[in-house]
Amino acid sequence: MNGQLESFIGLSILLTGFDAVRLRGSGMAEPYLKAIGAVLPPDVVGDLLSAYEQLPPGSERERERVLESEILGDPRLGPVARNLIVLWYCGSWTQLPPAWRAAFGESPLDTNRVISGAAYQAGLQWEAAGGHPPGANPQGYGAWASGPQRSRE
Amino acid sequence: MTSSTITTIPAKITTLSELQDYLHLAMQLEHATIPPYLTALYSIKPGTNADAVHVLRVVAVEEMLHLTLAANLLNAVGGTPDLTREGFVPTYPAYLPDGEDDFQVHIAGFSPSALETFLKIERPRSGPGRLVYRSYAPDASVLGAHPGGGGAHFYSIGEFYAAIEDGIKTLEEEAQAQGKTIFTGDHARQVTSEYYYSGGGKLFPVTDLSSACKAINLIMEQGEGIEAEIYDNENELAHYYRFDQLLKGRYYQKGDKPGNPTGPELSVDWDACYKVKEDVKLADMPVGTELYVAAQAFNETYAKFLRMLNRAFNGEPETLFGAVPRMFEFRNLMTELIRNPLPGSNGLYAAPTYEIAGVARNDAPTAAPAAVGAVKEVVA
Repeated sequence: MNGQLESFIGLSILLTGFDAVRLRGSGMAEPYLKAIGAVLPPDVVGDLLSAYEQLPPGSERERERVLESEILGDPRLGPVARNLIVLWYCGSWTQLPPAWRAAFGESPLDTNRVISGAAYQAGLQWEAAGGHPPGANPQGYGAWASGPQRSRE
Repeated sequence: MTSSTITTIPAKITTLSELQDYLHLAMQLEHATIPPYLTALYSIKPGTNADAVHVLRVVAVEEMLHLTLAANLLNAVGGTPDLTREGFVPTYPAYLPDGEDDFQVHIAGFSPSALETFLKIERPRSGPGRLVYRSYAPDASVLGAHPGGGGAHFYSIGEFYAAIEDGIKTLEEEAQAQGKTIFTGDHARQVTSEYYYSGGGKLFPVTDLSSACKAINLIMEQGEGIEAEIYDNENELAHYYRFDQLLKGRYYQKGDKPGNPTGPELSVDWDACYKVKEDVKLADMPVGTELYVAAQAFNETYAKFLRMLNRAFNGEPETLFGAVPRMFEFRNLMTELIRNPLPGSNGLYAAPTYEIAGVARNDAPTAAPAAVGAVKEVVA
């Protein structure tokens, strides 16, 4: 699981554009890895992470190019990787396309759903938009009068 | 600690300037409890330990109230709060008096031993009204030290506050006898409830002897309760017993005796926490890594927050409106650090380091009143 987690975070960095500290800092890396392991048919997670591990070393741009062709362009791994992007940004799992389900297997857990309350709060979409998860992240009275504060670049 | 001896010299405040020194130390002490409480709180994994999260949050918020009340006390007697002074934020572990001995307060994750420390913080030993002499390394942060120096320390935090209360009463009595008062501070420097809301306990201005005594009593009672009572004068469970509930696995309710809660059961999952390295420092993180940068960013944000608080306590209470969102911002930075593994620490996690001294000194606008524009700049 630990080696898997490292690869999962490495892959997620490429898919989301956020760094490792931010992804781990969300507290969601382990729950998400566990969630996709439960939803997907056996071997899919392992194959996805192996595909990531086989990306050539080199510049990020080069790795992204290979990621596009080898993972996002792969009929079995591509839809899962795209789902991972939505998972990190929205905290929710999206049901895989019917064609994918027919070809690679169905799971009763493969439904549209928010993973957890914590996942909703941790969605990267809020930070990307310079906002906060509505109703779930108190910022103090009157905070809405000032602009987004977080900027750690 | 290296050695301790006890003296019979009573710890009495005899001048206004001494009282101001004590009140500055009180602010430092009240602040020093907040980083350990927040670190324990945010080390709890999201979605778990709801009871512990609630208890820790309530106590941390009330410590912020105590800090503000201590600032009101200092302002009331013509003092000048300074949260940017070197050493205001202690170097952890910090030492607190515990009778003839002392104990260490760490930046650490939520655990039974952290809770034991919190219990010691909240229920000071009752003492014989004398000072204890102990020597420490020159760079150690020692809370509850006698402002006169020379290795003198209070027997307990309870005695420290008792000395303040006694000093205020004596000095005010002497002043009144000459037709004067020690409460000469500008009322506009008081932080009042329109700038601040919290859980238990109300924020109020300190302008005379009775409001000063009320402030000191609130600080002491919220911590330890009154004598053998577990609830304070405002019918609120004292911090000591709030923490005790977590160790006992049961809530207190009205009519309970100390040590024997009979309310609903609660559960604590000690494993559902990030195990953070105790008193982690920037030097424990590889320089230049994302983790190092995140830890630095936290320290800078915290230093900015202290500078804003300092303005709020120095005649610009409206600065608190901008400081509160910043507080929530550094909460996010804290949780992020706590959830990241610390390289080379055998599976322990990182934490905020609270190494603030250098950062706070850089551009601390303490002397002149800051312009409104400067406040806006920090908020934006």
